[in-house]
Amino acid sequence: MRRGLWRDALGRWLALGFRIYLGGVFVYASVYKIGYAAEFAETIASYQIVPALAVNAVALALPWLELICGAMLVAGVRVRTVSAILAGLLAVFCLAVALNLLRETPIDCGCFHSLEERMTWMTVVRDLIWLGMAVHVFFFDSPLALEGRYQSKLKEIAP
Amino acid sequence: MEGGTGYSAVGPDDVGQDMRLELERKRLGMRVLLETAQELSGILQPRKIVETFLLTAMGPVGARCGVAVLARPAACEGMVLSRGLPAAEAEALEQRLPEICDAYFPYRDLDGDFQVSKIRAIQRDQAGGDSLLPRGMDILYCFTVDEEHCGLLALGPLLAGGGTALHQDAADLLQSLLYILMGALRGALAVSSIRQLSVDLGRKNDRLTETLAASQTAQRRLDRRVHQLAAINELAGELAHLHEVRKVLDSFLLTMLGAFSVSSGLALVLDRAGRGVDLAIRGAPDTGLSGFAAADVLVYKAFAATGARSVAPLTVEPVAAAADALAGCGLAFEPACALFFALDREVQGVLVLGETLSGEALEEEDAQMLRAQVATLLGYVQGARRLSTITALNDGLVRQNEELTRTVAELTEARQTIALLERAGERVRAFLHAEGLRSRRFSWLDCGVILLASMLLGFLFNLASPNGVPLVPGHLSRPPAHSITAQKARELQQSEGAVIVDARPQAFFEQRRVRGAVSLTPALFDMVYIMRFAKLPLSTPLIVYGGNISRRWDEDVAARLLAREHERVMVIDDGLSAWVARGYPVEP
Repeated sequence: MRRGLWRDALGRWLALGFRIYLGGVFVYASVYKIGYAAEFAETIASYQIVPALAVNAVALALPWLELICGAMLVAGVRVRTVSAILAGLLAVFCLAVALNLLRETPIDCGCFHSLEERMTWMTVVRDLIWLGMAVHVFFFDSPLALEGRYQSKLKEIAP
Repeated sequence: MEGGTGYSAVGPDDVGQDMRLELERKRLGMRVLLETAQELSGILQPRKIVETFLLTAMGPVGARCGVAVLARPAACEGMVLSRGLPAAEAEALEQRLPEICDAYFPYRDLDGDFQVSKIRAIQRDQAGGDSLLPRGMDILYCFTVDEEHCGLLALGPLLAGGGTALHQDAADLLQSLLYILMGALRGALAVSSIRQLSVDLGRKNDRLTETLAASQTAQRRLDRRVHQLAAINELAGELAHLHEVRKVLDSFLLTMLGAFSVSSGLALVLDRAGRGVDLAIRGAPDTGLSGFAAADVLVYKAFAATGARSVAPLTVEPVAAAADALAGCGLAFEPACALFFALDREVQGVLVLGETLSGEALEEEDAQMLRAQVATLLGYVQGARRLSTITALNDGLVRQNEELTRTVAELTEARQTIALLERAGERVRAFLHAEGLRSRRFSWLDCGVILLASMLLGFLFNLASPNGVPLVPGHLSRPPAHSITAQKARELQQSEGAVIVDARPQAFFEQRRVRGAVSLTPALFDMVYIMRFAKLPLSTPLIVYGGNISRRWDEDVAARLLAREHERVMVIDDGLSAWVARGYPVEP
């Protein structure tokens, strides 16, 4: 019984916490980028990873991807797919940051604002933690998901 | 009758005298016979002949009384004439004719087998009729006139001496007179018979003429009846194919008008329950009788005129005094004959015929036949009405059948739709189930959809945003700036004092840069240009560097410097890395 409670607490409820937190972080991170796409494009160009032709396109699409995925994660819709996408983004961010740290490129992280703190290895660690949260959310079903209500209704219609 | 005194004057005096007297008697007798014959020949009535003869015979014989009988013994009839008898006795004698016939003509029982022209002188006591004739009439002669008639002559008593015996000459004269009488009677009877035959023939002729006229009348009636029956027979065949009451009435009326030679008429059937009127009218215009109210009045008046107290189904009643009874009903012709008929209590009608073409009223037989035909019409009208009802019911059934067919088709279609919807529902449920399962799994499709939605939203928002960025970098849409190698740049820096411009962001500039380079980023271009390049001669070479895989800042800055009309703006190939690779000085 107690093991079940622990498993439940470490699994479902922790996943709920991670889900809401991670989703909120991405929604928050996307808002500024959406409003200042030119600055975000400069940040992406500073990473020197994305080809020049795709920089602006990525700068336009990536904030909306973060916003949609964050919102869906908070709402609990397509949680596994969204958490996988976010995990992929975080993995790319980790690699990009790590690569530029190794290049000693003097740029900011650009995660939330264009001009914020300089990126460090802590940035990589932070992204790895968020990546872990996304993986946890991927593997554990969480309560209070909008899709859960939809699933229960679906079982009533098509048992 | 002057010779009647001759026999009493004769006497046997001498032979000459006797001879002369004899001759005188004979001459007188012949003269009597001649006169009698002449007198009787002009008379045609037997009674008159007998009367004349009786007078003629009594004179020469010298009888004071005489009776003459002419009878038909077979029929026991005849006449009894007398002279010189009292009236009562003569009358009584006439009453005794049958007894006289029985007494003096016994041979009448021989079925007429007696000798014609026979004169018999009989004794009075021989005949058994002694008491029938007056006393003193002893001279009796029976004679036969023809096969049917015979007569009796009784004379006496005689004037001369009161005796009853007749002299031979007188007897001969009397027989001769009787022969003349018989001849005259035969002639008279023959004339009478011929006259009677002529009268009978005339009567028969008249009767024949009447019979011929009657037969001609009967022939005309028969012809008319045959015509009527033929027309009615054709009508029966025609009505059998008619299915509408109005057409039945019209055909019937037309046939009746032709069969009875009537110029105008109408036939009307009134349905009080359905408030319908079927009217056929010929030879006159419709004066509004097709309307229910007018037709109701006409039928009611016709019924009232029949004298019936109640309406009996399938009856035909003649309307008495049709002209008066139907007056004021709006008929356009003068009704001469009308019949009221009833199919049942609700459906009644009337047949009204005008005057015949000859102006004569219909005969009783025609009226009877007309009534019989109207009775026949009832069957056809009832059949037509029933057929109409059956047709209406059949039409209703057809409509109901069509509606039922449509309903069945709709139900079938609805069932197919339901089956289709059920299948669609199954698919939807399966889809939702699959979606439910998919929502709990990772889906590449969802990834693609989310990515696509993100790109679409981003591009749309960028189009509407005032801080939007171009989708394609600017340097790709304009001609590249003049590029030089790092070596050439170094030479220009040293020989002509070219200005090295670092176009990268400030952080990169601060980290590492070409010695003597000036920072001029695209973001701060205008401000830095005014501060540091505004007074620079336009001919001064400007060498820009600072590009990487993601952004060509050097191209952007070079383009903007060219826009400021600097004449010699160049870009170093491979930028700072080529400069460093050549070992040229950098800072810090």
